[in-house]
Amino acid sequence: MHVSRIRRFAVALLVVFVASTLPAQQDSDAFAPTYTLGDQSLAINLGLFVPMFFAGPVSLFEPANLSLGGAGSLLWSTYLTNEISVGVELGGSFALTPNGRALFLVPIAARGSYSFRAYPFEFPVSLGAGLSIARLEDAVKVDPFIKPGGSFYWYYSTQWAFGANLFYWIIPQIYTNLTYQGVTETRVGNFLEFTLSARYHF
Amino acid sequence: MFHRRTVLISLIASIAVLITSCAFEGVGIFASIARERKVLDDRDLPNDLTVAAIDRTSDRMWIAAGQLWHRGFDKVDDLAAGRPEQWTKVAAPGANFTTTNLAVLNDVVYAVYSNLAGDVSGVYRVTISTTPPTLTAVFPAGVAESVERVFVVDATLDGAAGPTLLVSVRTGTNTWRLDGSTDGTTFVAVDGFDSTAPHIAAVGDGTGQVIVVTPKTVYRDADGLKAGDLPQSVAPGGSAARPATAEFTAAHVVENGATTTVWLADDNGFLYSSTDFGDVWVRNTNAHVRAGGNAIRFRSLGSVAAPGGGDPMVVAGTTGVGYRVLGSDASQAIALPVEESNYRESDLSRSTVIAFFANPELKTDYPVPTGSPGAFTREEGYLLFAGAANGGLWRALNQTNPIQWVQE
Repeated sequence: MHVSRIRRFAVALLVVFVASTLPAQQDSDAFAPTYTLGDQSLAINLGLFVPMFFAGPVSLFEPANLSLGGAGSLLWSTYLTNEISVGVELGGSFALTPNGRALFLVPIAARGSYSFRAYPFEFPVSLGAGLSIARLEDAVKVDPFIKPGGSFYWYYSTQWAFGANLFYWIIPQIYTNLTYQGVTETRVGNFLEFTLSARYHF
Repeated sequence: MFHRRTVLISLIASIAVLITSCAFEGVGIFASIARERKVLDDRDLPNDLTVAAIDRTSDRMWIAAGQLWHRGFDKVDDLAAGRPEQWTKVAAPGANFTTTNLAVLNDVVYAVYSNLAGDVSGVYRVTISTTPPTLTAVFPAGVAESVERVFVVDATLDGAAGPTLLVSVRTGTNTWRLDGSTDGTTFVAVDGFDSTAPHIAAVGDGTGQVIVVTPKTVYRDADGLKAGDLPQSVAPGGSAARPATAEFTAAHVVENGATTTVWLADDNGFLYSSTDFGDVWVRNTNAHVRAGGNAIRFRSLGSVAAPGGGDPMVVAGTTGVGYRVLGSDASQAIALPVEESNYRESDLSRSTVIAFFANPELKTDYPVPTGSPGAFTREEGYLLFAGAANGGLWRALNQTNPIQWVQE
């Protein structure tokens, strides 16, 4: 109930954001856009967060024990060439444990992408890396974060493109015997992010 | 240059602290999620109650949690049978009366009530055979004296066979007296237990030895209450002495075969145990600490028998970090319940546990939830109850498999 409300809110937010920034009608100039050094884009992504499993010292496959959740992010990118872009992404996700505790993950990552294009479609493959802040009730921990994946975009205009992302989140949550928790509490979190995306070029 | 290096070091230190910081007691975030099992709540008792005392009569369970609550004991814990019997509140003896303490003497419940103004208090006997149950004041007190706690100890009183109901009576600003009764009707002052602090616990071994504890004193009466020699102070001394800043918070007696062990706990991370009823005490050398290094403030003690005749499990409730499982004596390490229990991911693990009660009867074929909705296994063991401050009442079966808690 709670999750579905948040999901509906997220979708509504995406629609309102896109609607408020779209031009009155589609651009008539139907030629493939080309990006050069210094061109930038801003993307907003909202969708589902799919916890898959935890890998740990005892078992390489422990069920994630989390509900289907929600994910979202803002990505700023700048182009180095027409195919290669780099950027910074601030994201967030949530999912619920069996007793209703909410796990929040807030990754901050640098991202590099290489785009394959077949106008009006674009298929960027990306790798993000950075830190993820995990919070469960009062517990907070900052972990390394890796996020490989790919996207699909359809160019609505030279400025706007819409599509979807599929990313694999890898979050090694490492405890050592120097920490109170001990090394046996180490787990590598494995998650999937499936989000709808709206990207604006400027 | 120096400034840049300082900033860099500070930044690295900050990141290191962030990366290793975690507020849970010894558990990782992902690891705790992987282990988490659904904690069932099978009754409608409010989960924010402060359950300060728990006991049972032959067929009913009782708690003092602001008001007096009760439910049937034996016939209802069957998850397979559907919705179990719910808790019922007993009407207080007057407006703005609350209770935080009870004891059971000869299968009758005695509860301490006091009013909001603090000018009326007393011990009330509960008659359950009437509908609704009625309360009768058996030890009324007013402004001059007030009643704060009742205990039942297995000991004679003035030569009369026990058990004995003890009442801690506040007689002045900093003076307390102990009164006792073996019939719940006639009370007499018990010699030798006058104190400048409230009596917080009393335990007996059934042979005439009684230990009564105040925050800073431990008294022993070795020949029954109000008979023979007066009680003596047997507070732990030497290497087992209570630190000057600590105060005793709980006492409990554990019988394990021929060995009777008295346990004490304090609010500075120390536990004390004695197997000769107070002559020789053992204490942990260094204070037990919680995550972050602060001393654990123990609040309660309890024990529950183990199936198959194993050693009883002795537990100590803490302030804010659930409970710990104690070793064979107070010098031993203490532990969290095993990882496979649903304890570490339950609210109980973050609660202040202020009361325990163990049912001495073996339960067979008792349904224990597995954590999946509606699923349970049949186990054999002894029931342990835990009362939490603002955290409600919890129940678990001490069984061969890891303990699984259910909230009531």
